Amino acid sequence: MIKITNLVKVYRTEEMQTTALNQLNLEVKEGEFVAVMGPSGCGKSTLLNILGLLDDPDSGSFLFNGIEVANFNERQRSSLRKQHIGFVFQSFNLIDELSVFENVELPLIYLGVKESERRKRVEEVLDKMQIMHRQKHFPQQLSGGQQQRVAVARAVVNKPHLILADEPTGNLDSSNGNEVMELLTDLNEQGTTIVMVTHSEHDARYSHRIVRMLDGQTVLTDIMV
Amino acid sequence: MFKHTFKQIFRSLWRHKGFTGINLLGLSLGIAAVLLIVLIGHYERSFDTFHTKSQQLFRVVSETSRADQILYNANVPYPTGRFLRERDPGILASQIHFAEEMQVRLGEEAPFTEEQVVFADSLFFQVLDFAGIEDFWVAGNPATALQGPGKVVLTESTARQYFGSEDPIGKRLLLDNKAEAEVVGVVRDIPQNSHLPFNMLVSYGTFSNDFIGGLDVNSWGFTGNGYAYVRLQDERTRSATHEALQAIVLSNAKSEADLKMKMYLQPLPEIHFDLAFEGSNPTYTVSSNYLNMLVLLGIFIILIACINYINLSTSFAFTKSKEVGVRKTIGASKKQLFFHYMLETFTLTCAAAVLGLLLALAFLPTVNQILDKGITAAPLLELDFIAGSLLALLLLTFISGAYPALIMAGFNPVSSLKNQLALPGKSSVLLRKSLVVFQFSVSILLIICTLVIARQMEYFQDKELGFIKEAVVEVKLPEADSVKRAHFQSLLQNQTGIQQLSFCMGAPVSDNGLGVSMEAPELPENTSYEAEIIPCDINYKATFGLELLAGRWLLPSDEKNIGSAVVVNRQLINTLGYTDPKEAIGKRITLGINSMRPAIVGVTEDFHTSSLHEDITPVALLPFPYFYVTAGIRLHPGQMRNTLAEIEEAWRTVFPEHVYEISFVDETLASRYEQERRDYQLFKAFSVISIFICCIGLWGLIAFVVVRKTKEIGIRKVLGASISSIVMLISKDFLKLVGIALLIASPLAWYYMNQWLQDFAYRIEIGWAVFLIAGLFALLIAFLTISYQAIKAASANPVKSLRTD
Repeated sequence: MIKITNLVKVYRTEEMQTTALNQLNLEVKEGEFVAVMGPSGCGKSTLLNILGLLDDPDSGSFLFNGIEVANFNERQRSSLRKQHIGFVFQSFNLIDELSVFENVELPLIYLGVKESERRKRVEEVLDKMQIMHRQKHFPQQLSGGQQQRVAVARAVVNKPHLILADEPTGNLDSSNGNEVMELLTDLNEQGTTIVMVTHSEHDARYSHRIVRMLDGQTVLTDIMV
Repeated sequence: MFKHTFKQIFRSLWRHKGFTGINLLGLSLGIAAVLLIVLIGHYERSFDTFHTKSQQLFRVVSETSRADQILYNANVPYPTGRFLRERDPGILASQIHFAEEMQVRLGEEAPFTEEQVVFADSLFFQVLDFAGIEDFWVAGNPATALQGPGKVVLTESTARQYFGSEDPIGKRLLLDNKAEAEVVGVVRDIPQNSHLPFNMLVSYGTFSNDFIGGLDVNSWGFTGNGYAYVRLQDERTRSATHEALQAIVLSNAKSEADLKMKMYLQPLPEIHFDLAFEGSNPTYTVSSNYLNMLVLLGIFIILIACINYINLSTSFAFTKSKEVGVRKTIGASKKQLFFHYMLETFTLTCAAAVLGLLLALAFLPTVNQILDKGITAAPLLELDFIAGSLLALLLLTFISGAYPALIMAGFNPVSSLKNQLALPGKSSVLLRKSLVVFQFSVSILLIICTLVIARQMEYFQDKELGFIKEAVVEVKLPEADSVKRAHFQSLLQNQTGIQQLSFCMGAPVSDNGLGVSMEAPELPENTSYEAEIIPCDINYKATFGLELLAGRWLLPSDEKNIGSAVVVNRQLINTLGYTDPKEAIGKRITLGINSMRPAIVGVTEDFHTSSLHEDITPVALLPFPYFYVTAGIRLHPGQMRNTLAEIEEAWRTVFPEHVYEISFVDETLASRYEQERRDYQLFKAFSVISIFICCIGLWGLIAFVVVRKTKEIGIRKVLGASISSIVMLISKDFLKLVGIALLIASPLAWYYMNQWLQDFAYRIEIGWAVFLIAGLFALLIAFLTISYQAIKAASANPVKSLRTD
């Protein structure tokens, strides 16, 4: 599903330049659950941003479902993103002005899905995440675990092929964290590809494979049994 | 989609109440100011639009060349209307006499003064038909109402005031104790936006010499308060009218200079805006420049409000960056985000429009009071206006919202999510600073204008006019009767509260004036000169404190031999070519009143006879009891109340049949500066609004700056910075901008106010102090706005700010 070859990303300021990804190579197959680990500053988040088409690389190749997307423009990236990719963040990133239902509904609105269909799909996913009873609540009225469930619901509502999770349990206690990891595992089992950046060895063990990074390169891959 | 978006927008606006409140206040104030300006403009433009086919309507006016100026006059000799009709029956012409006021008496009741009375001939309603006013005729027949003498048509309000709920038709009135008239019709009230307002119309057959001080109404020699209106239905009558007017000039010219006079037609829609005829119009005239200036002011104020929105929104955008990042991540395109934030601006603008409308409606009565107008909110309901408003709202939304929406839609989602958006670039900072400079430039410009107008107003009060104006009253004498005058004087002679009493036509600056042509051997032939005659008795000099430069003052014997002696002012002898007043003594001048040729027996120092708009003109002080229609009385300042009561009592004893009218000379003078007083009020209001909008914008900007600098402030405090140094750190950039604004506004204000001051023959110099005061005031206001939040931030516990950051 994802094939990255010799990917380079350099951040430049007036004073200095920092190489975030240095000739990085990575392949993720459809249906895989991959955890990306490494020390702070090793380029994990940059990799995730490029995988999520939020950022573009300076050089190298990025094939998404066999299509070269490294040189996509903003419009093409946005279109691909909303159809195929879901995001889960460490800090949930729910929109405070929107209720649980509306937060989950938002990606479908941007996709142009009709209202009746939206309602059906949002209810379906809220039910699956067991937060249906909270649909009218606002983010600030929910616990961290509940907020992350909503975030996961929002990530999966448009049935993406790929979910990118950036330390999804980083702001949760262990019990809530485990619940979120179970959710992601379930999704993966139903066929969704997941790439997750994490610092937690515990969370990483839910994945099929751990990719370890250092100085913008993959240095090791652990296959989980 | 829309429902969803609106829901989000409303919640977002509600959540960020401070941001919403500041923007709402700024925009709604701006919109209110613009709406009021639109209403003022609409009102002025709507003058005289209630007659059918107004493009066919004209007023006869004239233009006379004098030695150094052209005199424009809307008054024409009284026979003009009739002459035009008799010369060509196809010409639809109407002659009127406009009386500022007239004494009216109902039966045996005490007389009272009615203002704005028009004597009009029977063609009046064929020329000016008032057909645009719904059901204009309440009672009576327009075809016959003004035929023959002794007929009166009242406006509804006047009829109600006179007769209450009784039917006014057939009731009789006594006009100025001179003529009786019967009410034959009632019409709707004349709108205030008419150049010819009236409360009562009297048939022209009632008009006689008595109503104009005994002068001959059939004479071509003077114009009085006569006006002639024409309705031209085709080209033939148009050229016939022009020929007829030419014939009037030719047949009445007594000299070659008179042949230079032009009589022509002024289109009715232009009357209200043609300043050339300002002096002879029955109501005020307004220049198109003034209206354009209002429009410019409106644009400036709304721009200031838009800039607030732009600056606050772009600052606030960084607070919203995370939300933008989330939206982008989950699939929002740049276009969708741009649309979303534009819709947010539109929602806020609409809310501001509603608030602005309510504010405008609330302030409309105050504006009417200040400007003395009858502006209504009715135009706001007109279809054109509604369509225009919607377009304006869209434009406003675009101006205010496009830049912030573009900025937000363009955020990098990765940086937004991490709250790591780069600080605004140099160009963005420069833009924001330029916008603040623009705002303050406009505000400072308005402050300078207000200060200059205020100083010119003070100058009106303080300028020595060459005569005493304080504690002097003019009491109107209804009859120029020497016996009654003597009686009145004898009743007051022992009054200790009276310093001086003079019978005259009026005070040096008065509503009564007599401008005549002047000839003298010293003056070149074929050039017309004008002098102002002040008919006055021997006490005039002492009453008004005139200064005699040469010769002697008037003697009782001069009054007995009218036209033998005259005292003139310095300006008159200068016109004759004399520099030394003594040289002029004994010289004779011919005045265009009964062609009298008096000898100059004395010369006074110059004194003003009109407002400071005008230069001092040549004045001839002539003993001429026929024109003594005023008693000028100088009072002892300490005991005015009692003295005024005594004067009234004496007056009522002498003139029991008439209405007592008294006015203070300094108040009459002040009324000449009514337009300036209105300008002053207007500028003051706009200055306050603009500086207020600027300040709330500044307040909002500082709030964001403070949030951004929290950590820096904390570190500086830990390192030992004082509160004042931190306040300066936050304030100095903004104060610098105010300084730059002062530099930009000063030359513009100087140029503009210099132009404004050109309207006055006597004016102040715009000194540097005005700019200094305006600058300091703007700096102070800006500093006060900034300092509250700056001090709050500087006083915060650094440990807390460093920990929470």
